Amino acid sequence: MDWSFVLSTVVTGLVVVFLILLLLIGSLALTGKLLADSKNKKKPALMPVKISFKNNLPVKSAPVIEKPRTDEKQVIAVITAAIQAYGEEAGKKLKITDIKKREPRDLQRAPCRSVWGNAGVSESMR
Amino acid sequence: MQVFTESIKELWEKSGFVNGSLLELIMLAISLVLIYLAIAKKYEPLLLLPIAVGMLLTNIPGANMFNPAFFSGEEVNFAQVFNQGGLLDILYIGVKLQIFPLLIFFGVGCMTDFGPLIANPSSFLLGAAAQAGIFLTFLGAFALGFPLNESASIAIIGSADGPTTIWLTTRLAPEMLGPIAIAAYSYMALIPVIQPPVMKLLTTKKERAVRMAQLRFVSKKERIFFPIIVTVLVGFIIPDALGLVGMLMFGNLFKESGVVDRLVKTSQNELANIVIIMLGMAVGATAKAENFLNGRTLMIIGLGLTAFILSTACGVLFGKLMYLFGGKKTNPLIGSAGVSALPMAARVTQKIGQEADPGNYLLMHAMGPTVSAIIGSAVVAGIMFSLSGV
Repeated sequence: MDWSFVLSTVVTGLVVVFLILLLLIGSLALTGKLLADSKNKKKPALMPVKISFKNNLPVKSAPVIEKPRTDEKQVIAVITAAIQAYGEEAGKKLKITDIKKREPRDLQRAPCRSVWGNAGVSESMR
Repeated sequence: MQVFTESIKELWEKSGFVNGSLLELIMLAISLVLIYLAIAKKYEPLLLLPIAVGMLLTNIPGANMFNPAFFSGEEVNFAQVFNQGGLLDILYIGVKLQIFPLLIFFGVGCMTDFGPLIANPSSFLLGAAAQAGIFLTFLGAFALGFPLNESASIAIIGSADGPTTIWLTTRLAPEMLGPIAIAAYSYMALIPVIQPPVMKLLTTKKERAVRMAQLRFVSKKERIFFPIIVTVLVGFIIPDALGLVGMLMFGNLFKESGVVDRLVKTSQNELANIVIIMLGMAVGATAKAENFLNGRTLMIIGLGLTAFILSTACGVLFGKLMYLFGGKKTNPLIGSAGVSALPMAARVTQKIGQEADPGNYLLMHAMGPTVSAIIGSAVVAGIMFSLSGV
């Protein structure tokens, strides 16, 4: 084996590695574009989502602490962003139609397992 | 009484104390040092400890747990191995037939997130650039007198990828498997020591402080298409690399599909652990005194270190090119993560980047070149196998 063969092996190897990885870059870009296009073409139906956000705080029994409007707006913004992110992942377009604040006692009427509890149960049942 | 004396004498004559040599004692001492490094210093213990144990077992005189002669011919006589071989001979079949490295790569695929790479495909180029260090070391090894097949096996140490190194060395230069595997895993553990000086030498503080844009969201469909595309493309161009790349990608497909969680968990844990034990011990068993204690082993150790340094340097230099010609948006440090040492290389990049700018988070950006290097090093191994004339 002489140096010319060795050098040609090195050059060939480098060229082929870069070529393959460039082809992979191109394939990924194309795949990403095709998947993005197919998602836009479908126009999924709007699914209305109701979020209960109703203010029922009693006025006489406890002093009313006026929360600034920006707090509620920030909460709404965060929930809206989370729903949109979920919708994108699921391939659906979601629209918020109503916002009502739920009273804490509403949650107590229907006690349910915590999210961690549910995760643990589904893990065991698999 | 005489029978008793004769029996004791017979046992003594068969013992390691009579049949041992100085070279085997030295190998036992080296294996103990490796065990210390694995346990006390935590140098890649998952593989270094089984390798060190295999080395210890194979060098105890008279035990004959591993017989290299069974595997030295053109064809392996498996009947002889099963009838006359020891435990390590039988475990070595998994190495010889390429089964163990491929199963480990399947497990690696199940554990790897290719999201950062899909989100920033230019990371592929950094992974490719770092592989240039392998080719440069290949030239250096040939210049030092190693034949092509051995030069390729030594050079692949620079990939910082254990299964790939073992896969290629088993095919090209199986007699060098012991020292090459030990060098590869030792240097992988030393990445936090080897890489930073090279990274700092080749970059300025301003370059190290570059903040990169947040990576885009990668959809599930992209994550599912990615392994299929890579397997088909690489398989068609370099069929010899299909074993490694295919197993890596299908492990990843299992993970990303989300419908075979039980299989993924088994591959990530039980399967990977069992194979690591068997692979490590079998590889360590090849490090017998006559194979290991010679001048070539020192050269392998030196060339292995050179390969690591060159791979890091090539990756960083290409990162600098991307920084200069890409609008100064790429931090050159992520090029150093173009070695397959997942996730240590990315962590080192993060650490050095934070030294220059404490608020800079490069970890996920560095993961792109690291996972790209896993694919790149498998491709390089396939090319080297194809071109090295064996």
